[in-house]
Amino acid sequence: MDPESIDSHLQAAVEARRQQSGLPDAEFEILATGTSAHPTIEELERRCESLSHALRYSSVEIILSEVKPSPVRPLIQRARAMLHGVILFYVNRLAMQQAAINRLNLQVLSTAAALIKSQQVEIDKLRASPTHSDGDVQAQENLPTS
Amino acid sequence: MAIHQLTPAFTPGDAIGNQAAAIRTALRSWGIESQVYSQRRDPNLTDAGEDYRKLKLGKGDWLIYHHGIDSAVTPTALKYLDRLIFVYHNITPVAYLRGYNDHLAGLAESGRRQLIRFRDAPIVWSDSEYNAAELRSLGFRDSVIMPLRVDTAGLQASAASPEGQHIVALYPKAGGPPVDVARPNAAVNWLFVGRIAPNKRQDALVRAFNYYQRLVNPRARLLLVGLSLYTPGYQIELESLTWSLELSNKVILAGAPSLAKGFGGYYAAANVFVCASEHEGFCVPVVEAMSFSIPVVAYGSTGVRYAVGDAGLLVSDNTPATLAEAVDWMLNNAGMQNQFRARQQARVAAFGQAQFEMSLQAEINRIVGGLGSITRAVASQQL
Repeated sequence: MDPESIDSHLQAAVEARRQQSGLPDAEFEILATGTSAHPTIEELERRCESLSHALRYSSVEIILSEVKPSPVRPLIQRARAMLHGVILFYVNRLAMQQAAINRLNLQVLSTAAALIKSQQVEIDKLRASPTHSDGDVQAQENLPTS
Repeated sequence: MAIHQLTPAFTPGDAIGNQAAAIRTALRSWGIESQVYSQRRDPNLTDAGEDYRKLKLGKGDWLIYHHGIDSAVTPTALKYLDRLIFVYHNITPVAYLRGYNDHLAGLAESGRRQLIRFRDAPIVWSDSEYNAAELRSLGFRDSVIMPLRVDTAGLQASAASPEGQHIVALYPKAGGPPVDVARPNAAVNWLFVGRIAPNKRQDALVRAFNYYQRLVNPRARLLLVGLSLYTPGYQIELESLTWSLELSNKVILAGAPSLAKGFGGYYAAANVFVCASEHEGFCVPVVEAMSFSIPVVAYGSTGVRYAVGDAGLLVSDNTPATLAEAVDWMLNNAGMQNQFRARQQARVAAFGQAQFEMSLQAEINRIVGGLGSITRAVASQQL
């Protein structure tokens, strides 16, 4: 099969898929061309919300209870208690580091969401303005690709 | 007389390393002294070769130099230019490396600049017509196409091993549309094998896969086999892309298991081999996939179209819709698959041991004026 026939067949297949999908044109274009794999504003806000929920109610207990050593204190129980204490120390430290990373992620996502929202406002303004050109809108929509 | 080899790195699993090992084995089997000299070696290999600084050619000896990037071995190759067999494996364009690995980008850039210094090498080999055309454009004499040897026997054994079968069981493949309802985990398995690298465009595969599983068939998986040895930043991008598309449970970054760890199992598990690479000197995994009779869909760029030949579906761009619809077309078209399958075995044979030895023997005879003992030894093995 020659390249032109292959191209024609695939173009027709894409068009048929567009009709079949029932998706809005913009959404289909994003899937078909891969021009934007970035989350939508709603998805970003949803992720911010779930991250902040996780920080508040997660199972990461920063303050863990101490292990009370047995009153009998045979040598091996004392060693176990000390080892447990050491493990708790490092788990606490890791948990605090992870929580700090999660807070940073939340900040980054919130900032990204705010930026995208303000971009969208700018785009809407430009569209509404009678003097705007298509080039202005295109420049605003020119999201970076990977 | 000896025919030694020189290469920047001699590591298994790498196309250049595998080719150097195959050439060494063949030459030694014909009674020709041969060793591989390199800057970097894998100490786990049984015969890991020697450090390039130990290379000394005697009178009448020849040197096969594998050029894929600039390295510390380049001056050594230039020293023996008058008896050099220059082998060109192509060099990744710098644009794919800048920002991911600037050191490697620098080596690639100087590797390209160094190319013209080898124009006067008496013998030139290329592993694909694509590479040969590039050399011609730089003023090289016509190069001989020395096909890469693809070890399909080792892959088949790996697939049949317990480790390979474990991988097949882990990723059960769909028997074909319609969806196999009796096996809930069965899915259409896309496969690509290759280093996680910007020029190989695994991100384009993820986007194409996203289109496919959103609009065509949600019961699908994308198996990406390979490591990001030199561009870890690209792997991070790939992971965050996968995460942002909510495909983390369907896109499998499988790493690079060895043959002993069941690497062949990934081919056995695949319904289709998909390639979106924008730059390849050749693309050995395409031939490996063909040895398992897996349909191949590939963006026909650079060396990829020479690897696929007429035994797979070549498309003219690597946009998500094009690749995904091409996969769907292939998987639903038994006639097309049968047609390609019939041609695949010829492609696999073209890169098999017999063809490789014949091509190499013909060249060695030409270089050294026809050593009768080599001809007789190879002829008696073929009887």
